[in-house]
Amino acid sequence: MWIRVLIFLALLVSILFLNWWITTSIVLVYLFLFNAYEVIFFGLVLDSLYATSVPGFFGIEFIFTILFSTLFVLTYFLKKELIYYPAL
Amino acid sequence: MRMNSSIKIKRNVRSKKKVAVVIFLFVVILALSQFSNINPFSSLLHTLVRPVWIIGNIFSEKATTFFGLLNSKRNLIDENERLKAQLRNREAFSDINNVLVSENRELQELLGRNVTDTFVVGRVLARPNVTLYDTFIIDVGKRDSVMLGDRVVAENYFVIGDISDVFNKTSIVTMFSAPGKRTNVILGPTNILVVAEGLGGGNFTTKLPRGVDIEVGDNISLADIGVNIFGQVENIIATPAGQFQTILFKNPVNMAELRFVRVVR
Repeated sequence: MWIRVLIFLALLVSILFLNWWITTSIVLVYLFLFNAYEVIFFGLVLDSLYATSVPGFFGIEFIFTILFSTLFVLTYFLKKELIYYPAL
Repeated sequence: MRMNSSIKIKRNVRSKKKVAVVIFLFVVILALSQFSNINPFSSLLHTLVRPVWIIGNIFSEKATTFFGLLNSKRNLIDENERLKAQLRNREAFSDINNVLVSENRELQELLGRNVTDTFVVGRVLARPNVTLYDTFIIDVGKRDSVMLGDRVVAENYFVIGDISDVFNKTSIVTMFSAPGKRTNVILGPTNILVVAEGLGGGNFTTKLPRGVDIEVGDNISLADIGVNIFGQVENIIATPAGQFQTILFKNPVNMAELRFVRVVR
């Protein structure tokens, strides 16, 4: 429980002050430790704060929402196959 | 036994429903991204997060000062000598620069162009490395008469981006180096008009025919009236068989250390 709260707070600090790849790494750790649906919310927050229409991303302003949602779905199915997660 | 398996089945169905909801949300958000102006959270989040950014920056500055005190004397002496040498080089350049700027203003006045820029100074709250968008946040917004499209200048002459979104007390600045963003610039001493394409992180690229004379260190400026330094050529890639040469250049401003910018109207 406390670990989840700590990672939640670390993610909150990361999306405001740290590099995007640190944020993504914390998200991956969070997803592997818990079924953390709230990462999609963090993706939305990141995009709402900083996103703008950029030609390199085809004008899409929800890059992190899409990325974190994809990671969520991928880790969900990956964890089912891993022996470390017997209860899933 | 039967109860255990039925509980398992119920649990499986519930978790599959949850995944289905997530996938549905994902698709909805993807569809929403086509109408990218619809984001009611942005304004609210900017209002809520602005004080957090300000406090974070204060702590960051204090921490930098504190850790500076822990630096060894040897390191400090070496850094002092290096900075003094840099300053000596820059002082000479600065004198020439001031003469050129003054001459530029006089010529603009002779041509009857408006030479006075109205600007507002903004503090950088969040730097570009936080996301992939190559944007940063400043603490001025609608309240300070900042408008969409206003140009953002660092260290007096270096043009780094423009305002892409304005909120009440904050604004989002998109750097010219945002991936795929194209900007008309003037390259080198022969003033060649080219299109610079952003690569992210303050880096740009453009292509020129092989015969065109360009050197590393040549200046690039915005295709506009006034002193608007855009970047400096860092590398030129030309293969013997190719008809074009790829010019790589970057904005000389160190975004990690930038604290204040000017928003020019």
